[in-house]
Amino acid sequence: MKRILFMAFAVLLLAVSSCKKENNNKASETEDLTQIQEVSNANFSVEIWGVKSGFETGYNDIYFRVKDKTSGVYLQDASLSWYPEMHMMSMSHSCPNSTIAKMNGKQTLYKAYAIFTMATNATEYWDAKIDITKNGEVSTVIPVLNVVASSTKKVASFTGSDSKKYILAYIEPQKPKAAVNDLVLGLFLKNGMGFDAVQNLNIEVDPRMPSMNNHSSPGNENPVFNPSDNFYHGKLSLTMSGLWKLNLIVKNANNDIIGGKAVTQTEDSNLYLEVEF
Amino acid sequence: MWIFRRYILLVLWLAIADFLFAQEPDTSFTSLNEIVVSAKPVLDYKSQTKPLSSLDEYMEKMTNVGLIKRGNYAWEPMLNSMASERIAVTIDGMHIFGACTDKMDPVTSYVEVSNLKEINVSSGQSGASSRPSIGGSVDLVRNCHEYTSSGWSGAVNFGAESNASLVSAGAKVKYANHLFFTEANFMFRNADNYKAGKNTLVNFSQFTKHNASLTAGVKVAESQTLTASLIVDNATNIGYPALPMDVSLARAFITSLEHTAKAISPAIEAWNTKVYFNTLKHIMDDTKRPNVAIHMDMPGNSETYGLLSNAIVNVKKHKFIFGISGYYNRSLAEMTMYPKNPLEKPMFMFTWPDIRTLYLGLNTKDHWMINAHHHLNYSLHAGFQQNKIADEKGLQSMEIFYPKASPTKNRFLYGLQAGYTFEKNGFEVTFGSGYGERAPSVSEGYGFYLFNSFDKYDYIGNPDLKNEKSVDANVGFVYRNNKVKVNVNGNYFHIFNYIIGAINPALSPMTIGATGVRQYTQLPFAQIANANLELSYKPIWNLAFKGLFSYSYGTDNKQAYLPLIRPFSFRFNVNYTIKSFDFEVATEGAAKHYAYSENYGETATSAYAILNLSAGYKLLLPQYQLYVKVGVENIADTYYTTYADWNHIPRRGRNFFVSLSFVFDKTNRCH
Repeated sequence: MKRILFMAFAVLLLAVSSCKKENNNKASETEDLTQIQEVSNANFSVEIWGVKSGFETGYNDIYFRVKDKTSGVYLQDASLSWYPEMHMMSMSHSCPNSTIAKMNGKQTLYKAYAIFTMATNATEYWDAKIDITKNGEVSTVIPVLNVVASSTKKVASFTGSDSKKYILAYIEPQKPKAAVNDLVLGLFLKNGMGFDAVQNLNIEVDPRMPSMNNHSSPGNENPVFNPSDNFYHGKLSLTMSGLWKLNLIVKNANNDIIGGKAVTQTEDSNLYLEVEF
Repeated sequence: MWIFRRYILLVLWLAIADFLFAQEPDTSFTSLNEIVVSAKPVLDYKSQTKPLSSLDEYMEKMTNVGLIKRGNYAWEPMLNSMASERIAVTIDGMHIFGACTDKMDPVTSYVEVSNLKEINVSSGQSGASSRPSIGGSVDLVRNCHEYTSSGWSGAVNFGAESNASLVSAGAKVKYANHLFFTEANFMFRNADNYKAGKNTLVNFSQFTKHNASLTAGVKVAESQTLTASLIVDNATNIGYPALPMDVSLARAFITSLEHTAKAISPAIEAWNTKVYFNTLKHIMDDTKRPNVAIHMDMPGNSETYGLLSNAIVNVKKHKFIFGISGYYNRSLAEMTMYPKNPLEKPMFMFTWPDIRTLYLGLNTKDHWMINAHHHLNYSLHAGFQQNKIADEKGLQSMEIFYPKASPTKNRFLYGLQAGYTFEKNGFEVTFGSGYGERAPSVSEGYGFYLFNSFDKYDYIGNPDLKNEKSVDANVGFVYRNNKVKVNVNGNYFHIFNYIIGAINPALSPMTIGATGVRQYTQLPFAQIANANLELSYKPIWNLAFKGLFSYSYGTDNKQAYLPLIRPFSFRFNVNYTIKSFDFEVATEGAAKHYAYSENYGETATSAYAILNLSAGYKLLLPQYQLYVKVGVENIADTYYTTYADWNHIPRRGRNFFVSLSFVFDKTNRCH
């Protein structure tokens, strides 16, 4: 009996201690993430984290933590909003992005995405105006985001046959495998300085390996719009590792081509994205 | 008797200790003979045209055996017009599986004639004892030792050929006493590019091969022995002119430990048990080829662990063999391709995604001598086979083609066979029939974009294939007297669920230059028939004429021809012996190959005939023998190709050869 009690106590202790670990260990909040930069104003210090050590053109998951400088405590109930913006020589524009939302299961971590359409260069740069609302007071930081060109083409901007301006972005798989992968693409329509998710167009994907004489793969499923995240979801099968070119055609409900064209013996689609692993 | 008569035993007489006690000490390091297993082997050096020829060249002369040539090395044996997937090739019963996805390393390429005593070929189900097969089995039997001699013996051999500057050199030494023996054997072969007829150089046909073997045995008790053996075979710089790639390394370690007990009881004649392990490594290489579309590395590995145990039991007029056989194989092959653009990442795939094959089987045979004229034999076997995709990534790749692919697949495989022989007054009639099943090979089940340069298609395996099943029948007639022997025999295989690649137009080829993709699938049936006529005439004791005529036929369920089926072909020899000299004139050829398979990329091959001459001399002293042989093959330098030459690469043109064997034997009979 004593032994059982002791064991039960030990198990309980173990459970409690492991619980505590999850609660208190701040490292677990940002596990597998890398801090990219930190920016502060008089009241708050905002940490910006990412999956990689910097921002790339295309889709980026961006994570935020906000520390109250006076108390030294990370905020758990702040309301964050932001506006990423490209400052060009003659004009400024934003990019497709999401609102900043508190992450499920995290205490202090907030998340948003941004699809950067171009890289920072000597004269043109991205910044993000971040508003922190706490107890009705708004406090702002404006970090400059350094965006480098991705080694593969992860975002495509095009003017459709309907003369509208679109952005098509590669979102998943972020860790592609030689397998049938879940494919997620984002399609956005330029609306003034901002972007709206497009939901009534069809996307056709024809994956090819340019270095293998345009070898393609079976078992792909064209992505279809999913209102839960406003992205297009499909299947992408990759028969081997290496560079794959996703040749794309965007069509409207009448089957008119808005962008891209079918791959032929001599020509690929002019609308494409790339994945390499 | 029937079952043993169906074995064509080609004896490579290497066991020097044995020949002292043979009636005619007329042997050499590597002479080959066709004998009946129940009789004492007759040593006949004269029947060997080229004593130091490769194992492939030996096998090519065997009835019902064909060899697919992709170069001047590692020919792929076919039996009854069926290749690797449908036949079982073993070394002393040990299962070895080639490590190359493109069949560039058949089992026979990892041994040397000098390792072997004989080659047992059994057709159809009579050979399916240790592994299920459709076409039959080829067992390469290693030298054995009888513990009847003591002392040193050995041999030194040298061969040279003008074509390809081929050099063969080997040595062997053996020590034995009444309780122990050990034998070491080494062979080296090197060839440059060979020349086909009309002085045509065939680029990328070179090879270098080293083979070493070590065997040691000890008598652990009266009638019980323990034998350990190791073969190391290392071939490098092997050209495959018929293929787009060569091989930089093909290496095998083949080990075994065997326990033999003889005369355990009046009924139990012998009981052999063997454990074995072998590992093969095969590395393809395209770095020496010009204009390679994309450079690639294609290493392959195959490891096999196995166990065999057989008991021979005599009960009255029955001779039973009871056996168990088990093995576990791991086959893993991969491909990495390097894009021309150095900024792009290498492209990688598993071509054999770490496939594990477990086989466990039971078999029994009975040879029943009803009386002096009537013999009956029958056999049964049953086995369990499991295939498993051990690599998760491999399974995910397979799921691209087979979304419901399961990582494991279990099968039961059965077979049975019966045969009858009647013999009287020099006449012998045999007939028999069998039923057998086989599992798909690793490539057929799980291969991933394996390029076949013959039909220019990429092949995708199919894990859902059913067992291939075969019903076979055979019939033979022999008449022999002092001067004449006539042997007519034929067999027929009706194969259900015949596994073959079918074009899937929806799939895009991976290999640059491939026409399309074939997926392995099954035809309702296919049929294969083989027929042979052998004629021998010996008007006087030292003059012999011998002719062999063969024909095979194979079609699928729509009466379309199957690929790689032998057309009408013939071989004709005249041998003459005088004193210590012997001479041979031989011709061989084939009719035009009309029955080719257009579907599988075959085109017609023309008729051909070539002429060979050879002469031999032997010097026999009590403890030393010297054998000299010279000859010329394809005297007319004919440019020709056969049905079995991959992509019609031409065969060797005129070739002068010389071989020298020096044998010493200082053993005494043990008392």
